[in-house]
Amino acid sequence: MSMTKEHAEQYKDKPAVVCCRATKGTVITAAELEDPGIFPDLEESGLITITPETLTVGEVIGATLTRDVDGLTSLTAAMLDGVTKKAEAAPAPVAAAAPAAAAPVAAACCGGVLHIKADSVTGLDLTIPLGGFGGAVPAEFAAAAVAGEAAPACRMDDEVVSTLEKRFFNVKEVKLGAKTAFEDGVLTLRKGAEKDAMKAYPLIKKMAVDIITPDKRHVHTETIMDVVPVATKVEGDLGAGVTNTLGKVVFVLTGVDEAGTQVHEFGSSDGFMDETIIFGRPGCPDQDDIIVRVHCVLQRLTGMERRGPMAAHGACDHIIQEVRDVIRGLEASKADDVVKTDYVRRHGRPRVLLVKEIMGQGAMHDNIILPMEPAGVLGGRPNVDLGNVPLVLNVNEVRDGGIHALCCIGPASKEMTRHYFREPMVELLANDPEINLVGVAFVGSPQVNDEKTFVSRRLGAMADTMDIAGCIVTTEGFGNNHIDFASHIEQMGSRGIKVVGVSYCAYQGQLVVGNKYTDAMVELNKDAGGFESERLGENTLTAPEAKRALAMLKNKLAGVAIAAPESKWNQAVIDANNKLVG
Amino acid sequence: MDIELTPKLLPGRLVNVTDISAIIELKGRMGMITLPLRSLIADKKLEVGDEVEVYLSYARVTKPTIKDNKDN
Repeated sequence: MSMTKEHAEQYKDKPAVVCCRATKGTVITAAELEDPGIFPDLEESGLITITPETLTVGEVIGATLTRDVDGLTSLTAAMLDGVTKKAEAAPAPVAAAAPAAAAPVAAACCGGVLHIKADSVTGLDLTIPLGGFGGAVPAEFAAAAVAGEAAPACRMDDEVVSTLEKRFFNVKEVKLGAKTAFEDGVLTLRKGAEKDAMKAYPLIKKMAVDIITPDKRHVHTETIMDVVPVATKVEGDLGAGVTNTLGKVVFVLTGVDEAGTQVHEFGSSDGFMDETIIFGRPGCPDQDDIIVRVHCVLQRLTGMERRGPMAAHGACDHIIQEVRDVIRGLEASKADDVVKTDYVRRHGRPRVLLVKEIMGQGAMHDNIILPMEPAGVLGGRPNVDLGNVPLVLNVNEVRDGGIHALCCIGPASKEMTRHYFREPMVELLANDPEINLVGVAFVGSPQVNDEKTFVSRRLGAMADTMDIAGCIVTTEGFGNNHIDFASHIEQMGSRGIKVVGVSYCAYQGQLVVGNKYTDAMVELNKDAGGFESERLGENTLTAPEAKRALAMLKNKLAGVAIAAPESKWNQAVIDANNKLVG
Repeated sequence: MDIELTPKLLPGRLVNVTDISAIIELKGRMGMITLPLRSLIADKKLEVGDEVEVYLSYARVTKPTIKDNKDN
């Protein structure tokens, strides 16, 4: 497959191989050359041989063949006339480069980057008055750079828009009793609360609540539909004010239908809890958490219909609400820990948007957005009902349980409600002083390609209005959601926005579609074979992947090239990158 | 949209064997495939629990059904 001119420019330093038979006298253009993107496969199958004598694309374009060559021949100097030898790197004196760099620096002080590239450097003596990238650019510097025009005022401060205070009350023991209560670290759940919940959700035929302590994890479980933190608003709306949260306890929702079919069939996490859960993942219970298990048996065959999972999540939320009503009144002075998080506008730093693709094909492939209570169900809007169009939440709305996940099918790659409550990518971006996280856009993934295109274009149009320099796009699960995932990346990249993609792909979930902007991708797989492992949370986004993604984004923003990926998933590349980012 | 269908070697397990067919459950419960016995290659009589492998890609709809909607 021949290349376009633009493609050839991108690959000018790659080996030159003719794609088809070419005759003596042919002047080499991009159209005569094979796409270097597929060379690894061609080399592996023995169709091409690249040698040290093979010229580069940049060297052969414009040269004339001195003899006939067959398709897939590597071009060498012996076959060509008029080869443009690769320009030797001209030693660029940095002193000369510095004034040239000054203008872009000053002009780009609000959200720009400084990029100086030199092939060799001697006697470096460089002074760049950038105010440590965090202070105001000196007026005389900025004024000189814009050739006498008045420099625009440039804010470089951190503006706190709102603060969220989470008060954590640790639970030492959970028991069932006559009345829901929380006292001295002991949480009592009212016996029979599930019977009331069932009255509101007639699709649920049986419901049971039990308690699983950290020392007794080898218990059988049906498929885990969700992991839900317990939190309630004390002051303010979701995303601001005060939230009381229970620490060291988490609700786990499990479910089957009356026929015994797992509610999340096609990727189920039923089995023994200590074998089927990766404890400590952002979406999972932690090793030392007490688990309150809420088990639902749904009406036969409703497990794969929308109403079934929705009823189970609603009924579980009904039970949690009794706890929320009790912990809302806890005294602040009795909190074990208080965590204050700010929603900050970091003026003068590159504006970055985090895009989280969430599932939107229906049934459990859905999420409840902005419920009334943190991580709750009531009052929220399912993204399927909203047409899966992108919706922006501010960072504290996400941290405050703005997303209740109904959880897609793959246990290893699905993001559960708890994941969004402590999302590592959100935390890293929100706390990094070098970037300005403008918000988190949640965009649903519909089933049909036309709808995927529709939501993806809306995302692109929204990005146009946000004046962003960078973007990280993440997705959960794998399958046809990768089509819109790649499209979201293209929407961003085609607008000149630097973009990094984050997904589980590995072996089983390899991308089915790509484009020229999917050049910086972070792999979420942690399974040795690269499969959906059926272990809850195994292949979801964790802190190391968030660090890799942010490092890649910063590199792109700074104009540093990202090395091309290998043609197939290779854990060694991931290990090396993890070492690089620490 | 240029979508590439790439077959991948996926492991699975026989979960049902009849006189005419066998059902393979793919690893990770990522789907079931019912195949006639002639499509299975084995050195021994098939049994539930046998581990198998199969090349499979995603499935693409090539010719959507056009519904004759008489209400419109």
